[in-house]
Amino acid sequence: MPAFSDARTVPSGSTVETDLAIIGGGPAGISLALTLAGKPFRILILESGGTSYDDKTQSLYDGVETGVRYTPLNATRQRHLGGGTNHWGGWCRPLDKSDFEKRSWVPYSGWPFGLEALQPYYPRAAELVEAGPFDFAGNPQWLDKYGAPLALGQGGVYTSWFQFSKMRGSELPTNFGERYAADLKRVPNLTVMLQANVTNIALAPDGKSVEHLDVATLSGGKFAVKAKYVVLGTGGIENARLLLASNGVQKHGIGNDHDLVGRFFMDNPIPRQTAKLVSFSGPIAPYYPSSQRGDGAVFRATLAVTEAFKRATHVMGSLTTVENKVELDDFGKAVVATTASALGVDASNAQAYELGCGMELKPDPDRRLTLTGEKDPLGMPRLKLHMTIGDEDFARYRQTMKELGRQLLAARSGMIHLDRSSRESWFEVMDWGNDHDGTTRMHDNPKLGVVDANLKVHGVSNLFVAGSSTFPTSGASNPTMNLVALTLRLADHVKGLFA
Amino acid sequence: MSEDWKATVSRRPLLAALGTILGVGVVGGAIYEGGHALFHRLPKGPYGHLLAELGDMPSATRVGRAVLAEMPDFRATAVAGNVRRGLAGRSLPVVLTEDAVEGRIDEVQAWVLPVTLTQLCGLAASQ
Repeated sequence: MPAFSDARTVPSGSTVETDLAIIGGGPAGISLALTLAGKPFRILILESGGTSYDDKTQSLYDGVETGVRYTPLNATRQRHLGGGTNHWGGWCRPLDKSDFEKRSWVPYSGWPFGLEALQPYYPRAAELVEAGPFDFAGNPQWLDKYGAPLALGQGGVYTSWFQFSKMRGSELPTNFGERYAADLKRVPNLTVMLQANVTNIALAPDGKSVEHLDVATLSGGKFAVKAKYVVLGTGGIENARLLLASNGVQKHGIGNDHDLVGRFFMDNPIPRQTAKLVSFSGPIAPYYPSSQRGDGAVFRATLAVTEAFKRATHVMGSLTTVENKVELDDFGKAVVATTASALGVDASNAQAYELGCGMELKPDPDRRLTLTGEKDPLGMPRLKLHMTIGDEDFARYRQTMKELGRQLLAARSGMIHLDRSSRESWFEVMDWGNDHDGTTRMHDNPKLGVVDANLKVHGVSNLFVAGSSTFPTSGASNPTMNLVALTLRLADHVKGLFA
Repeated sequence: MSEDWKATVSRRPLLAALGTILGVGVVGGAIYEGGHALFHRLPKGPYGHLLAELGDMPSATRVGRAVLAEMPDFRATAVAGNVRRGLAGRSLPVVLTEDAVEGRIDEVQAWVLPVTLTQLCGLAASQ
């Protein structure tokens, strides 16, 4: 088979055989295939789309949303080679240590392993997303070049760092489909089959293994793929859809004996104007309000929450960003003048900034995906997403901002105005990261998780799930580099299966 | 004038008298000017001595009006006592920084402020 093939050329009724079938050609599928390049087994990527956007294929994502306002399901994803990296913002940051821990104040929290299990994979993941040298700790040369970080008193908020994906030869973030097409074509044991929509994961009659995959094309073709192992990597929404819809043997869907598939959907809310930060001494270092370049990286500072503060106050993770400069109203100017004068600080050049944020949501079983009665042109049930966000999620983030205000005062470097105090006012500025996590959550106990620590679906011997749908909690960091790191760990496990 | 005056008016008493007059003038002037400056610098009213370090009184008073609006149970006399004890001879920047370090903060129209500053602004608007 050629390195890139078209499913529309496969005869209907035929069966394609391979050793490892990867469903989905997004960052997880492509990272996995590249990592397994040259191994002594055949790999087949089944990608629904082609190499570029197509309306008909994209509309397979149509669905309905209920609950709080959320991005339409067909707009928040991209169904062609490269997947989510066709439209991502390139923000990269590793998860924090506490993101993996069981936090008493976060129901359903706790990964089956700690940060240390992913650490060996982060440098390679950073390389694949082209985020520059793996640093994320505030390279001293960045500070020398652009100035010292904001002075903060001791407390719950500290300056942390994003690095940005930047595709070689482009100003845009790395698009995995475009960036790695040539590399994929060079992999001798790999075929990328485009226009191949997996519509059903058919289990053996005992339900303990995958027997074959049903594949359909929008041109009407239907065929089967038989593989020794299958990795499902179609994104945080579609992974759940395919498992739920594959209900021929397990009546509630694959891996859904305990009604977990599709539940616990998570995204990172991004309220745009959460607070105003005033720097008494004037403009702060330029790496806060915008990304800067240094030593092969594009980086930007963010205000993160310390592990100790999370534990002490039970706030969730959040990453606050300094945004545009703003002019204060007369009362604000009076407050700043009064406070700076009383603190014995000169604020004649004071500068105010809007703050934005990426928040972590508490896992909520009622924030979920379910199948509807409506079907797409391939006969797949469409999805309904019920979206929720609690007042407590907002209140806890506000508490973090208040702590930042306290630390600025303690350092006599600035102060904070909290812009949001009611649910309605939060929604006035609410956006979403379109980071889809949690719907096939990972847990050692089958009653609490769909996949185990090796990302294998509980009870199914040869089916794995890759991607952020397996994250039991999302953290505040953007998922792409983290899901790539988790996929590289899965690649090591898969190598062992074929050894 | 004859040379006799040197005999009748000796130099030493004359210098002493001139020095005394000059000294009285300087000290008196300093007391007058210092007091004048002091009384002009201290804000007027019953809490003027507490508000002396606030600096920008019109702004502080404006903030204070918001404090009073948001804290209807603000009792100026009691607050003044608390502030006086809190200051305890220390400078205002030291006390405000200590407030922040120790987590004694308030919100006034959603601005995060040290408690002692909130109280002082309230006092400024109370008199």
